[in-house]
Amino acid sequence: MNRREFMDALERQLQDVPLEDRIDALQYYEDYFEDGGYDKEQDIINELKTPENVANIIKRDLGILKESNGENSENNKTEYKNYRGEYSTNNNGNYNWTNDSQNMNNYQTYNETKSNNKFDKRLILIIIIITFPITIGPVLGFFGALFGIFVAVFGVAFGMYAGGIGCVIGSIALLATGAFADASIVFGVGLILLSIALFVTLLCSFMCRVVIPSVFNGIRKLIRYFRDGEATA
Amino acid sequence: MTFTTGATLLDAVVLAIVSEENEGTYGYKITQDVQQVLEISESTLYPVLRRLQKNEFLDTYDRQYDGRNRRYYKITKEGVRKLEYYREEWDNYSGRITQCLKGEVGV
Repeated sequence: MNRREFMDALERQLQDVPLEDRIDALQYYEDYFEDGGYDKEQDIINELKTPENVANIIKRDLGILKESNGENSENNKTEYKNYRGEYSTNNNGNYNWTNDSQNMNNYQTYNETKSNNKFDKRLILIIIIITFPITIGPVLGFFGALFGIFVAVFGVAFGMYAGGIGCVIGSIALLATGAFADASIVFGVGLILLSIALFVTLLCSFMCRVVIPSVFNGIRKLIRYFRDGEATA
Repeated sequence: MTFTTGATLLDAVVLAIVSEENEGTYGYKITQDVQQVLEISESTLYPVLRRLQKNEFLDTYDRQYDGRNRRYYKITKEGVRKLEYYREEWDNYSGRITQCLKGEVGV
């Protein structure tokens, strides 16, 4: 295994590490190889044992990997030996660093799920781009409708307040003319309108606090999902 | 090595080594320097440096070297304080152990 292969394998092993920590660790080991120089390349790889070993140390520190025992380092040693034997006979670039069939299967399934995942992401992105002329209508329509509902609810609230206040003021005016019965009816209607207005106000605040943030959150997550995929691709 | 080195002692050694360099130092060199003192594997130091950095005892910056960015580690004020603390603790601890092993307890 050379430096490039080691780093590629390490990157694959760190797929489940948060992007920032992954980049940080990879940068550290890139630096390390670079500073050690070409002469030290094999020495460094020999001492680091396997990419898996390095990845496990990083993950254990991050709390992603829990198990930690002396047995583990023993395993790593034998794995490394096996890998050396395997690689010299099997020179097709598929460096299987272990003869242990169970481990190898794990590694392969891991690789498959990973590439499937990447493939899926790309596929979704392509579908989105291809169907863009068709989907753009409904998508914009959805946001338009959302906006419409917002404006309507605010409008209703505003109208109710205006109507309610108007009725209350009107009833006072009617009271001045001596029409007590009329005044009390108009006053009652005013109070009903105001109470509806208060209810709609609650609806407004719910929309502002819950609906708008969750829509933006959703958009942000979607963007991050694709950007993350591109960054690691 | 007969005696094992705990995480705290390793932290202290790394802080002491990094503090020697006014301009800061880099991962490979830190590892080489620590290996002069302790038997550690090359893969041991990354988590240590990361932890010291997270705790703000070390600061990192990137500097151009040989046409690439190299990450440098520098001790912070907080780190200097921590190192002072470790030094005192070490004097205490090692003094007592030395006394005990050399049979000087109670002398």
